[in-house]
Amino acid sequence: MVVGEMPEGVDMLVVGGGPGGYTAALASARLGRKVVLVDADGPAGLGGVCVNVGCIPSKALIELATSVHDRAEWATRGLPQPGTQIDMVAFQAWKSAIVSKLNGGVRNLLTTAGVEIHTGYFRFSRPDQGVVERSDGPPRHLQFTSCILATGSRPVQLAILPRDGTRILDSTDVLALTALPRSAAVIGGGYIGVELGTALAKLGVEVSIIEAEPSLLPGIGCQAGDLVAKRLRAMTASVLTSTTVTGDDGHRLTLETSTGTEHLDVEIVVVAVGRLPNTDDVGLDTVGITTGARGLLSVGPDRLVTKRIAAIGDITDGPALAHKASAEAHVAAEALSGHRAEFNPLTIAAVVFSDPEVATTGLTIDDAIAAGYTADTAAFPVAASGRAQTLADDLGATHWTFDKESGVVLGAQIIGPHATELISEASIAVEMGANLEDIASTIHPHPTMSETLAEAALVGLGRPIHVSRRR
Amino acid sequence: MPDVGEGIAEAEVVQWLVAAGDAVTEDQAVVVVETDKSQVELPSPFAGTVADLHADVGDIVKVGAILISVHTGVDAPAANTSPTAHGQPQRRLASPSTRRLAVTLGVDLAAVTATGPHGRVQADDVRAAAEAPQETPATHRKALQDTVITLRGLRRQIAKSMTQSLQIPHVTEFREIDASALLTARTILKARIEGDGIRLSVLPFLVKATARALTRHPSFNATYDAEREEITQYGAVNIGIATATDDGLIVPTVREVDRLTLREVAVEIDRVAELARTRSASPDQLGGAGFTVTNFGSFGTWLGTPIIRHPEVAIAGFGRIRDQVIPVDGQPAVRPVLPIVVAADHRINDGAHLAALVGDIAEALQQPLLLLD
Repeated sequence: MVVGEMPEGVDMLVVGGGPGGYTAALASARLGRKVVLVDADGPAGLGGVCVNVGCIPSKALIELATSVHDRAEWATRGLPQPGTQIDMVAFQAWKSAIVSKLNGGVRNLLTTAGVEIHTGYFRFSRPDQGVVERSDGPPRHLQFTSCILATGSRPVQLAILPRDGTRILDSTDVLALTALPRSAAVIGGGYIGVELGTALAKLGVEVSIIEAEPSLLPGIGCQAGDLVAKRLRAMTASVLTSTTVTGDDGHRLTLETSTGTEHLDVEIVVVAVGRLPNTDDVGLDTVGITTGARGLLSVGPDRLVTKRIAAIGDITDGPALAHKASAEAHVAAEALSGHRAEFNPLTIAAVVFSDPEVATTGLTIDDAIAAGYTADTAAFPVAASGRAQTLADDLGATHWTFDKESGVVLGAQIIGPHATELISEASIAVEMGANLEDIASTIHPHPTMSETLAEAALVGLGRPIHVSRRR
Repeated sequence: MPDVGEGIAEAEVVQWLVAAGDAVTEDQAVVVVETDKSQVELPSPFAGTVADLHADVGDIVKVGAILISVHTGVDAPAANTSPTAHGQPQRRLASPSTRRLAVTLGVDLAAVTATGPHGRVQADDVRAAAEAPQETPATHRKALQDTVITLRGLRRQIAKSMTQSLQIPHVTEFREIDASALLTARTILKARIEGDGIRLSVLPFLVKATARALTRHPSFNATYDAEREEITQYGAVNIGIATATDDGLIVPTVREVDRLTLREVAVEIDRVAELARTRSASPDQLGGAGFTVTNFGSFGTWLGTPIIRHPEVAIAGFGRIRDQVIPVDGQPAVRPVLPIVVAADHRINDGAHLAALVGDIAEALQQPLLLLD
């Protein structure tokens, strides 16, 4: 303890301005708390990775890539071709405008709710205090009644491919490109690698996606990874599964594949091998809490790690997804404000803006069997949908996982056009405890992709219409 | 049972976090044990499948004894070969709003009688369960039955250490002082210090005055080893703060009190008391005190006889400050009066030494400006 340090009293301290942190600040303010939000980047950091360098800018890039790609595809279907070059500078201007609009929107919501925003790096110093390191002034000591920790995560770096920002890039760097490379290797075939790799391929970059597991998008099941790989290869991207990078000489990567050693000449290397929770440098030791496996904090259903500190988002167990963090933020704000609250969802949908799109919610068949259900699956192929034909996009299928005895749906996996939008109907069905009959009996409008959910339910009930009766 | 440090030879098993047949990863926490007043999670040194647990909850395990066996071989049964009964998952059908209602009303969904289709729990079912009488006549009868409680955990530790304290021949002195100046000092500093979000009770003054007296009488800032007939007098003034927690009495330590300002003592007492109350203090945050202060006045108690914590050699207790009629300049006057009690180990210090210590504590509390010295 330094003599003369005088902590300022804070009622509710929120650390981190991402989707978890700013939602926690707003929810706390609504519960009558006086909120201070600290973010290392201050107002510029509001919205976190999601708004600034993640979900939102990547979707902007994917929209551009899809438009470019579709323009060529639609040439054979009558679309006139303007024949100009891709203008990445114009793209960046458009993307930045979206980011600053959303970032400004969050700032406006927070200030309107009376939330004070502080800029600086926060570390705990005692169970009820912390220090904000500032570049423009002396450190600021805060003593809080309650604290919600939402420090998020950062991309994992590979020791053999340290990021340099010019040739070895992370996802953030890729989204800021103002010129396209001729070729790119994407290390990691999870959702981030697949999304970036697909976008670059559609923009005409010669892409190689390298994944250590035997398929892309490991863990989702339903051959999602294989279908995505099929489409990527059709765009002349190369998909190298069961492959790891073992070396780099500054121009050429050395790859270890199942058949031997190979070399790959690429202009840029994108490392997208996962994310690391930001729990290693927040002074957790002074609070008396330790992290578990992979640096994650273990929390109960009320999200509390101590009586006065809650943790939400990427620093806790579960998928590192913006919407999970936001949902946890409400629970943390309530639990720390004297209300009974629990985070107990049956579903946290995950969506991949790949081609075809992939989305999953609730249990997969393997999860369901492991949980003790007598479960089965029912699938309806996208190729049997009229709407898919008019979208000229018929790869994929809609799958339900359900309890055999009651027909209650336990989860869904959707691969195909608009899967990312369709998945929420499935989530509501699972959360509400709907059964296959409820879904099949709900009239779905024609012609839409949503019909595949009702059609797959009919398959599960043994009364399929637009596919032959399953054996 | 690994060595958890601080010379602790044994620990009590509080909770198993795994069962036989569970898969464990290296460093996964498998058991919670309670050592001398702190709870520690112990990690598995291996990855594999739990073959056997060698202690029950409540057992005392010596350092070096076997706690758990883990199959690490490839022939170990896989984790998912011990499935739950087929078709009997734990889930109750209920919509998110109904589940939220159950949490809000404190109702366990599993215990609710469901009236919806497919055994679905409806919102009204949850409300009915919440309104159902909680106490039946049967539970009233039960309340009349006698209960045998086995001493476990912290309670057992307290019982053990209090029995050790019984060997100490206590000599106890009492004194009352006029606390007017003390309360004035606190009022002046409180406005300033609490403006910074720090709570300022009289306790930091009591601790600070005690620390000042201990620097003048080091024979009380000590521990005594009766077997070796040795007294250890401490260079630093580290004071234990008796803290009531939900589980029982815990005494965390404020270190080097003589080097801290009053404000810092206030902050530090709050910090270590919070560590104690959340049971998150490590053994080294609890040990190392040469003297203990107990503020039983905070419970409203006028006077008590504190018990010395073995192996320490003295303890100071402070009663509730209350208005009394006392003579001032030959006239009756109403003044706030603070009772001071100090107990000492008579083997180490005599009544005359003790009177000198108590006198110095009293002096600084009657004239708090001396704390600036």
